[in-house]
Amino acid sequence: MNINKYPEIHPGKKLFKRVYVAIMLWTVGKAIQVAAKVDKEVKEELAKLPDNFTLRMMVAPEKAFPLFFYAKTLPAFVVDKGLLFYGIQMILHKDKEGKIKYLGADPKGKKIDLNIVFKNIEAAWMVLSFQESTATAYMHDRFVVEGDLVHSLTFVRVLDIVEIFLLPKIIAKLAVKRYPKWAEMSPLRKFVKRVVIYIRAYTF
Amino acid sequence: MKMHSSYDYEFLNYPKIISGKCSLENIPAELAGYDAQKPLVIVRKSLGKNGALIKKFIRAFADSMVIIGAIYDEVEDYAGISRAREAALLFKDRGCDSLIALGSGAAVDLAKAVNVLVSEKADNFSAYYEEKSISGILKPLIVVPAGLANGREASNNLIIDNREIKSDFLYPDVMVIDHRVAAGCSAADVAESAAIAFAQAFHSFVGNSGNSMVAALAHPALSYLSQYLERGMKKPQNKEASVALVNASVMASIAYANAKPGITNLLAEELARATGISSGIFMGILLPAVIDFLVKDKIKISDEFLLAAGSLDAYAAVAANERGQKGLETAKKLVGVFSRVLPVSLNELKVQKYILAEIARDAAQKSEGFFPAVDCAEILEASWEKTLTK
Amino acid sequence: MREVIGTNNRILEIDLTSKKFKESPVSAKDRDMYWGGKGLALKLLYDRLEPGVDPLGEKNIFIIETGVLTGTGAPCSGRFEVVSKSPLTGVINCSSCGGPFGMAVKSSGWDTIILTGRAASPTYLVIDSSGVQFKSADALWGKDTAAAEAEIIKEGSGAMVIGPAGENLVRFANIRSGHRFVGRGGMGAVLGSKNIKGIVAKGKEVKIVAANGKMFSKTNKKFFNYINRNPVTSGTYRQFGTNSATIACNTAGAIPVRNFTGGAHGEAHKISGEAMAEKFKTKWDTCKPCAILCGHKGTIEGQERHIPEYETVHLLGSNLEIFDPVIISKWNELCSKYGMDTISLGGTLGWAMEATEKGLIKTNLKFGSPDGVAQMIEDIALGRGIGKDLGQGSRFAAKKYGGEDFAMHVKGMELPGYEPRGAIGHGLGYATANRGGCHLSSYLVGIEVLFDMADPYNPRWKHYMVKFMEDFFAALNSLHICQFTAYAVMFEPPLIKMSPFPVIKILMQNSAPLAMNLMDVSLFSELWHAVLGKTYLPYLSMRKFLKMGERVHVLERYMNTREGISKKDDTLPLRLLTEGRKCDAKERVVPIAKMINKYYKSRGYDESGIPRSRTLKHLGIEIKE
Repeated sequence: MNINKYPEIHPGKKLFKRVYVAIMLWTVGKAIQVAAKVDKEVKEELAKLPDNFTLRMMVAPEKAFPLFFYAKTLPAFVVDKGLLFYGIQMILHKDKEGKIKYLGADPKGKKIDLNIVFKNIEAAWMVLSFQESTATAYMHDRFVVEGDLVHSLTFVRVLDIVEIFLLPKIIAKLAVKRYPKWAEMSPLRKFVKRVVIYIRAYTF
Repeated sequence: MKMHSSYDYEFLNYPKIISGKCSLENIPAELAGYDAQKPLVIVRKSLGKNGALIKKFIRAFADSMVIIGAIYDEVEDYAGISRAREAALLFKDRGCDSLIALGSGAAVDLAKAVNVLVSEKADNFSAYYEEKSISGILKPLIVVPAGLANGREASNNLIIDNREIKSDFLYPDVMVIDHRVAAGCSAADVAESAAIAFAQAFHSFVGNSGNSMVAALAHPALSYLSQYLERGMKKPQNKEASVALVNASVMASIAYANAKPGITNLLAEELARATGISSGIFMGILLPAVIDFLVKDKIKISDEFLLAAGSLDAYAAVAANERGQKGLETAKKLVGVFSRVLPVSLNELKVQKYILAEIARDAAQKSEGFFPAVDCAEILEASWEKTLTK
Repeated sequence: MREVIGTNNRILEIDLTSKKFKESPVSAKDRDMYWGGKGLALKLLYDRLEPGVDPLGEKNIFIIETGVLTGTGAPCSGRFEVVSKSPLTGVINCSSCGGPFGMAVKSSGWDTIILTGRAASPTYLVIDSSGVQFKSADALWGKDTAAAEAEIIKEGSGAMVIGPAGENLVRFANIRSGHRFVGRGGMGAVLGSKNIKGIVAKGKEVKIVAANGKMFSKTNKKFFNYINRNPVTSGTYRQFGTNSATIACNTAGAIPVRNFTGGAHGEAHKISGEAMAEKFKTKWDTCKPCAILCGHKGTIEGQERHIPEYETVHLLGSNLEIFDPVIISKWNELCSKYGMDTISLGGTLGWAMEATEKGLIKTNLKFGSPDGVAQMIEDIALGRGIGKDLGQGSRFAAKKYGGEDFAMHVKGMELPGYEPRGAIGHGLGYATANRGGCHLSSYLVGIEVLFDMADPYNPRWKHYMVKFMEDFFAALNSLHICQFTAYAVMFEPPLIKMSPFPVIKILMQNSAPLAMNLMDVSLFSELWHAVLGKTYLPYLSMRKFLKMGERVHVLERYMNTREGISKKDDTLPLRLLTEGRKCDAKERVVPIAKMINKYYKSRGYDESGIPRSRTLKHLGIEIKE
């Protein structure tokens, strides 16, 4: 038998999806940090989390997304800021005072209390490009949760609210479990908060 | 609903099933669960020639730590020791640690055989043909079934060189059902696989009214078949129907692996072996005759069968004592669909009549006396001439 | 002795069950359309045999047919054809033999003998011009072929007998007549299943005289001349027998080595015809009458033995990696004794050796080692141990024990001694041959390798060459005359003879229909017309002859399709279609898929290989549902 007839195959990389997911995770992380300051509902939800709590959302397998890759593919300023250090991850921390802070993408030296792991980049892409809502994705086993499930539900609710703030209705409807009615969230509040969150998220 | 169940049964609920959109992409995560990252892929030759499919398959491993050791595509309909040895050599040479069977039928048998060779460090199967059994857990095996199935994909046996090896270690670890692989075979192939799935589910029901776990799997298999068979045959490219039918096939084969062998399967396998025509075609031919025979024999079939093969409306509309009978009628109607694309009689396939007696005898012997040779011969005789109009 | 002008035109139909017989004439229409030999026998079988009957059952029919030329003294015409449903393949089988039985039947005043039913106890038949006598063969049952034949030949001038293999229903048992055999397809087992140990014909009762004696003797003379000046028929075949092809085939990579894993071997010269002629000091030992003289005998270990033919040498020799001619000759003799086909036996042993190596069965057989082979041959013949399963052929054994990918058979019949990866047209011939893996159906290896007239690796026009040769050989077998005479006649036409060889080669490769139709084979039809005294029209009679061949081939195919044969069966063993060989620089397999559809088209079959009704109508074959 001629073994060379059957070569070894190194499957490639999905560049666009990687970059997209990384940016989305960063945006969501920053947005939650901002929303926790400006929105009462988010603040109340996040209050349910214990203090000194670290939460991570990531795409598996961690080692498939090493640093050098980003260094080559993303604009230098992103890497310089230390936003994407290792893996496609988003780490949020709630400190002793109950303040929410986005800690970038480097898990090094951090004790993770709740870990939300997308099984693969395709799953993260489906959720973060709003083809599947977070709840549906969980039903389809797109991600696994390591840690306390109750806290992850809190996080999912926060995520839904933030998505409503960030996205136009037509897209957000796909992404969240149930889009709030006018009575539940006035358009005014939505627009104001959207502007505030965007400005503060992107201006650091 | 009256259930003829008891609590004395055995059921091994093995392969994990991942079905639906983007399920191929889950393979790396599953492999990681077994601490494996270099699978050998065994592909059915006709699928392997489909460049676009192979490309999509490889693409599903992108952005993961998995390296594909090799894609071995030298198997079509027959799994033999020569091929198994070649693939095992490739496996060792590349330092692989797991197996993926892409496509159904002989590819899965071969993957299981290679798994035995590499995990048990055997050179051939002579010991297993006799009394040796597989000694322990094998390397992880993931099966990605295609539309044309032989009903052994998710089961605990393998057929290599026409001989069967059975062991609970031979269940695959994960079944990944994805429309990209499941869709796209011809209507006749769909009907063939559906005939096998139907025969398996049907006999799981008939022969095992006591085992509620078997019924639990045979039920969705039958209801998928009754819902999607027509659509799947009309439009084999249809994603939903093809995934549903492959699901039915997988579920039926798990149920059947835990049930007693059915007369249709035994006869069809003997016929296939004697003539070289695939067993699914024979199951399509034999099923109407088998159902007629069972009706004549006044067998008792669980009421649930009507619920599975028919619909809730049909079930509710029939009096409780007539449901078994009505269930068989529904089954007869359902298998009639096969005749649209498959041959309807053994005569049409030009099976030589003189071999039928021998086949009836062999099948009876294989059933270990459960089905007498006379019954087998009667069913074959009934399937000889046209029993349905096309 | 009574003189018969033309041919006997008498059919002897024997019902073995009731021990009755009746005589009937050959209809003029059948004679005109099927001529005799294979063609006529097939037609008679077609009229009588139901599809789907058990080949070893009572309903199978066994037909012995001589040809119009048999008994006339035409060169190489001392032959007869046996036609029945084969227990090895389950399809129609025609097998030809050059033994003295054919001449004896003809000179007993019969053209055809048809056996139906089954004798209640072992019987042998004595045939004379008045009919048949049934005699008990209880004393002969169990005797080997030579002893049994010696016993019954006393009652006539020609006999055919089966050996213990036939009695034990070994699926490839053959029938002995003199030192020639009705080799392929297990015709011995059919006789065995009918409880017939042998048939002897009294013979020397009638003398066949050609109706147009002048034309016959003129053509006959021309024929002798052709044979005597052809380098193959009067040279290599006459000197070294059929085995003279070994060296050429080995060079071309077309001999089977190690169960068809290789196509050439460094030691092949040891078993060539030339080496054997030198080693065994061979003499002629041929069919009668014969002008080619390809059969030989020689002194092997102090004993006079028949020299094995090419197929035997390669199936029992190189295919098992044995290159000792003495051992092969002894096995050949053992097969003769028990009455078994050496080709199918060799193919089955090759499978058994590989299956042993791969752990599918347990035997002490090993490639390259003669140990245990003789014992296994005996076990197969007598149905002992695993020999019982091997005696059902490699297809059955592979179905039972596995190893179907290296069971080297087509439609159940084991492949002869030419490796199709070294001559792909020959591979197509194997796939399409009606009776299964048969080299005599088209013998393209002759054109591709031995005469080097076409590229053996190029599929171009191979479908046409196969079709043409099939028709031609079917026609020859209906005369009935030795196929080897074809080489003497084919290359005689002036256009072919005068053209430079490269021109013919280019023509053959690029427009085979033109090149092949340059061949003038009218001599054969001339002989037939002369014997029967029919009006002979130079070109038209040759076309009629070839069309008759086509009719015979298509009729056989049509009968096979009624037994379930279709495109799925017209293929080669997986090994030849998927595995490359070490002896080839480039991996090479037989591109059967490329050729088969073109072949069907040129034959007038549909896509699944079934003759179209318009083809059958065109050839005058009556369609039966």
